[in-house]
Amino acid sequence: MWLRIHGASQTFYASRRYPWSRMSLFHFRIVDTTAIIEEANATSRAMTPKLPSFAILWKPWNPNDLLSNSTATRTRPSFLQLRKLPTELLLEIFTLVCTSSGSYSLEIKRDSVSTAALDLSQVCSAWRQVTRATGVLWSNLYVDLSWGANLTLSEMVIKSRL
Amino acid sequence: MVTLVTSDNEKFTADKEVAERSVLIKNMLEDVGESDQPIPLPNVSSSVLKKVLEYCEHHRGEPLPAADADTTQDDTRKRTTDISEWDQKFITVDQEMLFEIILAANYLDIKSLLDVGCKTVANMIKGKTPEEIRKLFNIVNDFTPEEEAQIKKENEWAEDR
Repeated sequence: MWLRIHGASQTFYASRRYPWSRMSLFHFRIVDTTAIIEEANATSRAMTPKLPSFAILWKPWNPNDLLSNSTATRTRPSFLQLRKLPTELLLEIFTLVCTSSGSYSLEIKRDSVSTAALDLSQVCSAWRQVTRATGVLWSNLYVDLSWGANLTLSEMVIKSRL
Repeated sequence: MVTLVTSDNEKFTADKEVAERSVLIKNMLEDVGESDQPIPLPNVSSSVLKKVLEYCEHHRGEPLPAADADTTQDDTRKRTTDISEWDQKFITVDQEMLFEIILAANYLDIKSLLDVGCKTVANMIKGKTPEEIRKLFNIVNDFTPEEEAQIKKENEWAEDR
């Protein structure tokens, strides 16, 4: 797991595409993030050996659906292109989204929070199964605390390594 | 020269050096030996092979990645999603063609082209919300009510408190 700490602070303001939110960093780090990662790791351990082929994760659909006018079926043709990708290619793309240079599974800055891994897991049930079964997608964390003065969090992280 | 036959039965000729940027074709040529026999590519259509050969022609002579290139987690972490200017223009195609190119690169075993395709999709996804991703790729939200409830719970921490 990668956790990058820049400085430290106890409380910060963050937004996740919502209006400004005020959160306790203690609570955020210790309760929420840890819970997400632990859950992902547990799921990964449980599911990785039996990760199903991506092809069977998709619900079957009838090409005749294209004849109907529902929103879901009108969007199917492009969706088909994506579903052709084998699981390993989808995971390659997800890995780039979460772990390539400058990208993180979870990135906490003074002004914003981005949750790439969580976002991928909330797109559709197939992506959810794949992402929750792949620990590496959840393991690249970035916490920018360089703007703060309180050293409590960084001290806690340092102590956690002892 | 090498002759390639696509799934729609169109024939393409390419320099051996260009065609052999595909590890699949390279191995086939080595297995067949000196021969004028066309190489069938039943998984690649003519429109896609045309694009693939354009890529291979542009990158001819460049070193190929080692066959046993290691992709450990540490290496992966350092990778970038930067794409060269020419490759960016090359891969600026509609979504259908983009995914067809990715699948063809995977089938033909052209790692650098596969990288360009995957990086392009990754860059399209980066910074987007789940709803924006669904809209981008026309993915249907098929979560069960139980999953929706779980997702709502996952997002509670980011809501105003």
